[in-house]
Amino acid sequence: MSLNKLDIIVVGGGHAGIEAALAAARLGASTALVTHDPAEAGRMPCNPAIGGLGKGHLVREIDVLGGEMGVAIDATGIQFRILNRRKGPAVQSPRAQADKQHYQERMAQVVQTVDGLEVVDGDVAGLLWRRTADGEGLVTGVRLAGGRELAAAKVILCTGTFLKGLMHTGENRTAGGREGAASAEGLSTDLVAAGFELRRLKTGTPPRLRRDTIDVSRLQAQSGDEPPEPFSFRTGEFTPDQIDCWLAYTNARTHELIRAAQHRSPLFTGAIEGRGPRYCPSIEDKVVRFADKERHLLFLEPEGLETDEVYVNGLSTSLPQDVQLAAVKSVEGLERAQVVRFGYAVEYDSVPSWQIRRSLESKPLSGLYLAGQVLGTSGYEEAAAQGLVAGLNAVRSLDDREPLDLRRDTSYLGVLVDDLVTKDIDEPYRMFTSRAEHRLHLRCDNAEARLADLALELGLLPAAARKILGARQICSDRIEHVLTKTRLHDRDKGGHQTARAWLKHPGHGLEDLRSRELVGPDFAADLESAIAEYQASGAGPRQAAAVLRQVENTVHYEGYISKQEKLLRHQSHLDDLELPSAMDYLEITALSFEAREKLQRVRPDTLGEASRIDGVRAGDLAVLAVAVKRWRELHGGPA
Amino acid sequence: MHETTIVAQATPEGSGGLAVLRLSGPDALAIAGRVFTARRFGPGRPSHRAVYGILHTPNDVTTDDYEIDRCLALTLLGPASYTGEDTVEFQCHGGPAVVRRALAACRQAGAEPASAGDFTRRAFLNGRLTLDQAEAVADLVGAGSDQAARAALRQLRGGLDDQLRQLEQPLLELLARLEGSFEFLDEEEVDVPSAEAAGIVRAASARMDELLAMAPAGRLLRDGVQVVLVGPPNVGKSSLFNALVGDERAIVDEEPGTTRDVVSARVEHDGLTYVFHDTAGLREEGGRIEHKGMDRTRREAAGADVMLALRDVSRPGSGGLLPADVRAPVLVVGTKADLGETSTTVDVITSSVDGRGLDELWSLLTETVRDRRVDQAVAMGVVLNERHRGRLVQCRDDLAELSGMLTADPPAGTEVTGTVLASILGRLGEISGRVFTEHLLETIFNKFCIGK
Repeated sequence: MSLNKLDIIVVGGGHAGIEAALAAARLGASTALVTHDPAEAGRMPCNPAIGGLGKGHLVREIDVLGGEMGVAIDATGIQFRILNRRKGPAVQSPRAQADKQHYQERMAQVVQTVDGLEVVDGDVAGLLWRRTADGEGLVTGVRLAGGRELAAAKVILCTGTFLKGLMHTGENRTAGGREGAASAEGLSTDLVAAGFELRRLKTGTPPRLRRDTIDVSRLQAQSGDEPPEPFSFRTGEFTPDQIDCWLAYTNARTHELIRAAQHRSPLFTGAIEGRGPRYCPSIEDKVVRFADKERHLLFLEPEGLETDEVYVNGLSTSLPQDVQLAAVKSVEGLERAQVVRFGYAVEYDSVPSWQIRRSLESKPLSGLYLAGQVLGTSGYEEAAAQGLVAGLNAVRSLDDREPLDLRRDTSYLGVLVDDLVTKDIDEPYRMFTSRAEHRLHLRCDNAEARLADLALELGLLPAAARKILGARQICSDRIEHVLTKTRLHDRDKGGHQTARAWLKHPGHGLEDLRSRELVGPDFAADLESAIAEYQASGAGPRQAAAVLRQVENTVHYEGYISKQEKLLRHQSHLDDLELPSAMDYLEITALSFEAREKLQRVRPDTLGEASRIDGVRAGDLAVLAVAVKRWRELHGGPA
Repeated sequence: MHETTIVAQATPEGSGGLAVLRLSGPDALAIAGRVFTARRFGPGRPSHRAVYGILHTPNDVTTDDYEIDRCLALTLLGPASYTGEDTVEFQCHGGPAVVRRALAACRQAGAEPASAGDFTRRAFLNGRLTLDQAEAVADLVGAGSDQAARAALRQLRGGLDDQLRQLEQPLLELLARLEGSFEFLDEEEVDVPSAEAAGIVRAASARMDELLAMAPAGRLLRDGVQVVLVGPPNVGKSSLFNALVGDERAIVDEEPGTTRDVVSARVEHDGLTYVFHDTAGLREEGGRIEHKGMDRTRREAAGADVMLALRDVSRPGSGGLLPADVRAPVLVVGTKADLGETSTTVDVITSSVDGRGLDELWSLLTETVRDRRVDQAVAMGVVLNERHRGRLVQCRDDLAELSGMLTADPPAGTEVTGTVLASILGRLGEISGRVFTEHLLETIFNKFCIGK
């Protein structure tokens, strides 16, 4: 493939870059992925895990649309758990420990074997861009270190923590995007020159321990689920080998050691300027903020089958190495532990996300897309989700097609994109189920049902997977139909109501209908025929069971969902009111000063979007609604 | 935004001797100059000065009917005016003909007729009023009494907001705990017992009921206390009405059935506005027109806050009919005490001729109204309008439903109750103007320290 006729250049081979590059190439765009270390594509510099609350939802959605993350973790995971099993299905989410080495080897291999994707080994030193006749910025390519230039119609920037990356461990500071890798200095300068505003953020990682120096006999083991659930709907029979993680606890002595070293922590000395995530505080932050807590939970997570490294989840820190070691050794079971790699904090430039559109294309430079940590988010899953969205939209834009319409009420992807364009994110953004007001509908179990139409239209999935997905839709529709038309024949047990109505009661399951003989034999036959048809598409028994579970959960929640929709209806009404693009918000003096500034900057499309912007209050919305009406009276346009 | 210049009567129509015409917009001074002639009037003159002069048509001075009125014109330069724009107010004589001609003159001189609420909308858009203030102003313009003004002022200073904040806080903390129980798993046990959650929800719902109990007070402050006089024909309703209102507004005649329609008048007393409604007497006989009047009496009575049922104490057995389905408190008022007293089964004995018993009647009225929590509403600065009330009722009903979900067996899942509670808080935020998502996360972050 020639590098002279590129459609799309993806900068960065992390989780965002991989999804962006794969999506673009698989849809036929001639694509280059520029990374400083092709063998390290898909590396996990922090937690050796994929999924978790809200994040697992994102991976499920990425998978349905044709992204790579779900199948990759299914192939290389070493422990699988569904979190929140004791809670309802809407807040259950898959999480897996990854074999880091296997995961990254697999990703590197996929990236190198996809047609139309060229992996370029190099550092991007700067952006190529120009101003068009009407003054608009337009990206035209990238400049590599050494001076070589690559031209393309679209550039997707997925540079993670590398823009002016600065690592801290105690008093030591090293330039770099992560341990052992140099930072990218020139891009920040070019972005500022093109009109972007940048913001410093901070994140951190804990120390890694040598496995054979941990006394696991004194720790509580945490095992994977049996049987395990995979992430991908495409995964058939699933029998991975699983390992244990262990639980450990800090104690008064640990906290004492950390407090005593406070004056040597860059977090407290002021050496770190960037804002870190509140939801993932470092241990030195935790002992201050939760001073009355006697202990903090630590998870010891093996980083792979062959490696000896164990990740200490919960002990993220930038304290000096001697303090880290002493703190580790103060924990029961870790007295003899050796630290293989020390924890550190990294500060980096991010591009505050109000500077992008819903397509993830930037406002200052058309043709430039951003995805992942560079946009101020945190997490592999959030990054992958944006990479996929940016890749898909860049391709659509090549053909002058509209960007994807991802909505808050149909996917976590929609929640993520909407939050990015409406929130002024000043700490690394992480997905939570609390962010999704349509949470009862946005479940992991129905990700296929929610996104199948879009996935089939996009055509990113391989043919076999498309076939299974289509058949799955038909199957779940058929089962729902059977439930609606079947009536219970036993009057004493609430007879003559439909099976669907009976199923709504808490504690009632599909299996009970059959085993308790509440319905006739036709019911079982109808169900089995629907399942058989699904399996004929290539789906296995596990996938068939997943459809039944989806229908069960859908019926279980539908009363609550309709109640919830009623509560949220006024919101969609706001989404219907479009804001004129020529509106000058600074002129509307009745708006709060903060609202005026934010609105002028973000320029939301609808009143609904405006309502979700931080700093825009309900009072401001009333002003806006009136002002828009008046604006239209004066300037014309739909009332 | 380029605005037009608008004109309208700023005082209620047909409300007495003086009418204020307000001219507001960028061309207000120029237009005023075309219809008003006085010394020291026009562009370049200082703001907030009233001058006396001639209000006239913009036509040539020699034309017929050139002069409309001799009156005061008050110039208020923006932004220090009600609307925030340049404004001229004419304080002219209140007769409908004068007002009509004055408005026509302004329009002829280039002003556009203002539509309902235009002045307040401009004030709102120009940052002179917040939404709550605009609402409070709208409330006050209708009522115009001291107590209402005090309550509205307190509301502007955040009375309702304080109440809502107190109500929201425990709910927000409950939500943080509910959400924390699954967002921050593997932490120590953080589950919220359903019974405890239901208790918190019920307590919030009870507070909401307390707030809602002040809705009638809000209406009394805004619209005035509606006092309806009923009684048989010729019992002296119109005489008492005139005595209370203090002028000869209702026609009083010896012949029964004189008052065929409802006559109303507003009176301010002890800081509150009272609106008295004199009605057609209820009796079996009477003509068709009189019966129509009686129908209106019955309708009026249904909307009453207090009903005064009149009895002629000078004549025995003058009971008379009371309209059916009266929910308002009824005060039985004896009349014509100057002609002698035969009956004493009344709350107060009055005479419109010598004025006896009127003070006592006023204190009875004040006492009756006190039960409606007006004082409390004024003290707390909570004047609920229809929008507030509707939202609060909805939130209270939603809270009741949520409490039902929590106490059901088995209780609904935390993910469901959390979602419903979040929506309720979102809706409450629409009254108070707060956006709560970030607030919630902040609360969560301060409470929990994350596991995975």
